Amino acid sequence: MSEFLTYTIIGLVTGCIYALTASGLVVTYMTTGILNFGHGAVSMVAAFAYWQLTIEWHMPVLLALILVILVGAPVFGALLERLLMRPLQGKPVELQVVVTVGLLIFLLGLANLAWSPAASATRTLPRFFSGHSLKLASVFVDYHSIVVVAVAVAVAIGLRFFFSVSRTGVAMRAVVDNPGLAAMAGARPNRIAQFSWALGAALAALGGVLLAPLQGALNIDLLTLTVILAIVPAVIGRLRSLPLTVAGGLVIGLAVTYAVGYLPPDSFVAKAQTAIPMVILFVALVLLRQERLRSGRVTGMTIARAPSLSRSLVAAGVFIVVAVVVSELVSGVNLGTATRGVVLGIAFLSLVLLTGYAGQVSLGQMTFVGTGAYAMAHLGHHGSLVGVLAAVAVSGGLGALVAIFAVRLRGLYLALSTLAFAYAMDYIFFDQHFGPYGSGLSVDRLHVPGLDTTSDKGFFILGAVIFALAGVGLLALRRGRYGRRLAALNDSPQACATLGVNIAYTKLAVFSASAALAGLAGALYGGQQHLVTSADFQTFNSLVLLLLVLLGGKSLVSGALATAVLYALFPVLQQHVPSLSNIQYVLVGLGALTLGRNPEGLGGQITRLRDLLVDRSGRAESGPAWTVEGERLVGADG
Amino acid sequence: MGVTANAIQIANVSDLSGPVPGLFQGAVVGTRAYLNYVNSQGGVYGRQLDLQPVDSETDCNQTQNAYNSEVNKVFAFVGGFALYDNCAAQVLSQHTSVPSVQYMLSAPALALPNNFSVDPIQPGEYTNGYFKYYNTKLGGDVQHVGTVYPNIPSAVAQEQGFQNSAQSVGWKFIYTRAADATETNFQTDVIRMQSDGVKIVFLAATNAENAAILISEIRQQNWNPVIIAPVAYASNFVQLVGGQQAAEGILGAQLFSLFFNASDASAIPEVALFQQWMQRTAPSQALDLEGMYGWAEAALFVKALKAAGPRATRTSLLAALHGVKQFSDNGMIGQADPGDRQPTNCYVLWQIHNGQFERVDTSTSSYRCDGTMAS
Repeated sequence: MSEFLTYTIIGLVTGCIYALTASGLVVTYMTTGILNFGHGAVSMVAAFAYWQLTIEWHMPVLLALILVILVGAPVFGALLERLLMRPLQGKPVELQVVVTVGLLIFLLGLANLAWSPAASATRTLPRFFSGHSLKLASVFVDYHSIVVVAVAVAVAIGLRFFFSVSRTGVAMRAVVDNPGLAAMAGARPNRIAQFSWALGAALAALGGVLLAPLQGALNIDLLTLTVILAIVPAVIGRLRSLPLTVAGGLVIGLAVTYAVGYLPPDSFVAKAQTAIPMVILFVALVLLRQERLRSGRVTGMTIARAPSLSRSLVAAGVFIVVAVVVSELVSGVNLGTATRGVVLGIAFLSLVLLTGYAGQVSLGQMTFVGTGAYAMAHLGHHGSLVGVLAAVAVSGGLGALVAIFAVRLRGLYLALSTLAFAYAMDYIFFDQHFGPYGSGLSVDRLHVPGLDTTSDKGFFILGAVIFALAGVGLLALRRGRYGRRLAALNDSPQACATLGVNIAYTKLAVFSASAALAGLAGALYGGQQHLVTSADFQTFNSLVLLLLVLLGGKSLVSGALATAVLYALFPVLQQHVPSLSNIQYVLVGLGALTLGRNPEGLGGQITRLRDLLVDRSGRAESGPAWTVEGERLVGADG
Repeated sequence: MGVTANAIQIANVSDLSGPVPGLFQGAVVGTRAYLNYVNSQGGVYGRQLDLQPVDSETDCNQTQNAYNSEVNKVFAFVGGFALYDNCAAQVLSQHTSVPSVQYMLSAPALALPNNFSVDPIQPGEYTNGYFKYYNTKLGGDVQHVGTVYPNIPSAVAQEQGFQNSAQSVGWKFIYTRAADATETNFQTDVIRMQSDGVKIVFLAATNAENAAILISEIRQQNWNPVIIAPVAYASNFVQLVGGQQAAEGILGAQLFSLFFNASDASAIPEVALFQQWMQRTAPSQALDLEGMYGWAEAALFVKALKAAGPRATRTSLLAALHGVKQFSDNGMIGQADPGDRQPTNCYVLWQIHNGQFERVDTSTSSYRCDGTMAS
């Protein structure tokens, strides 16, 4: 009993940290409908800023706390809302996700520049009231942990009163329910949204300052990651209930503590306890009633016209010819990088299908690339085609499996379920099955009669041909009956269902097809690398993959190609400008942040420009190249 | 290849960017520091040693790219440190004529016929010398050992070596948990070890930061097990663990000198030289493990290069490396046999006292060499 009490106390303290950080997420989501994936990064920057002020610049603790939590963070939050989040209102959920992921990456890059991790071991923050502890049951709890609990309770109670009693709080709730109506009643939705982002950022900063001393030396990635897990209690609280969010935080804290406390220490669960919150997230998403969940609106803002079959074939032919020429001109490391770009381009295409055409979001696409590489490693010996077929089948099957559980979810919740799946796979599968001591898996290259794929040149051409075929196939699908069904699903699942379209089957099929295409990319990616490790397929890479696809233009095959080319060129540029490696996170993050104002991405801008030029020269084809939500004719293929 | 009348070109491939920018910067600085020292003495047979640092970006593909881009340009690879050295092994295994003098982590890299190291220890093996020593000092307590280590490949392999070696002389681990790499709360482990009757907490395969957190939590619970934490030998450890009082009495052992201590610098000239040239080369660089290994690997390379003669080729250098049967870098590290790939069985014992790492039962400039390899 004493042991149980001890673990319970430890679990509750841990849970309070989750609850506290999750509260900030809920506050911003409640009023703006945007889940901030960059919340953890805001916490991290605040913790580092607090360290800078108190330890480096010897500022009094109280003054530093005021500057960081009550001044710096709220101003930053308000600016975020004004500059980045306001343009995202009503935009597709994947755009909202990617812009906040961009914020996360941007802040990570900025923190790495400002506080070099090479010196991270020298940065520590003392706990509040260090050296003092209180005995509860048979466990000594230090005063810092008691402060954490007290603050978490105070914040929960304070927010509860704020939203139910104060004028601003009530107005915030009114804005959540109906912004238009609230505006007519005198509330100012934009001002309220700005206030909620300021409040959310302040809570993130508070969480960061309290959490950092518990983690030893300040660590940019670790702090950010820990706070990302706050998404779990926030979802348990349905992203709008603060009491349930607090309860969710406590449940997670207790679950993790009991797992380590009671299960055999060498058991799988005790080792992979970090995955527990994400497993809980997946279960919560599947079990919670969908109608009670508020999901981001999927409005299918714009979609590119698909070119005709003859134009697709000509473009594919030109691309292959260019690839052959490139393979003659480029060699060595650069050719290897180009091959990686082309092969990952196929993974980009899998997201064009899923996100661009069908409007579904996957935050775990690299997981399917990884299972494809795994299948190729085990069944594709000597480059056997069986390996590639297995890669397609295994990843496609896994995609279908995820879809079966997640098929009734929409928008943000669907995205979160794929995130939870990918995160759990990192621990359950990739860390365990990629060679002894994680040394990696050797993957043979697909053997094609008549083409020497063991040479870098031959394999690059093979990758280019498969990319071209996948692109042509995707465009054909887009023009066909199934493509029109996907476009309709993208526009309005409700309208689709009314017209008799089987939504569940359509979603299942597109998830499976997209995962299968990612599996194909994985089989080729493994062959290109020769050796793949679990790090290649971690969840963070999936977020970057989605971000890059949106930067290129989510519904454009040419956008996927442009992104692949940029991806391949970046390391080459880096060879000539080494300092680029230090700012790549900042650049990618900045690119993503522009998506709020430029949702079509790079490919969309190029296509618009091209169509504008065609229009001016009087050679425009009939019908618009881009159709805007509300104007689109389902099935129009130009 | 990579040799001119006046210079020899050497590459150092280390993780300098990626998730942790500057991760193994120490390896570059340590290697460069030694080469700067040698160059200040006139180089080797009149040739200056030029170091080309290349960033492997903590990424398998970039590690392969880095090796591929240098393999036909440089004379040898020296002193590098890369987490994905198994990916480096893929390249080096196709160029077995290229000498590599580096501390490797993975089994494929350690198995390379052209790689030599001052500490060629294989995954899963370790000398049992200091475990035997603690047997005599701690008696039956070695039957009640608890440990926590990160569930990441290199740490798991390392931990396996420590446990195999300890168990070979009668230690019994009654609590072991491979914690996730991102875990920083070990309170539950501490409570559980306490209730399981653990008498020795052994921390060797984790990092200094996590060891400090765990020890802080042990102190917080007013629990007083024997703490043996070889991983604690880091210049900022006392600060990390919360000060002199919290660090007092922690025991440790290692296969190299107390390389950042002033006491060892005054007793072992090579340690003083290391500290002096590290300061000259990069004053802001901490004296860390990678820096120490970078220095020692460069010293092994130069020793073999001199043995290969003024007309050294890659082939003659490899032969010279095979011929180095005893190497301790003048006492900087425990003596090993790099030529036959036999790791050292020597060690130094220490204890933290008044916030300082002090040698225990090990004379000032020497090692205890009474262990045997166990796996």
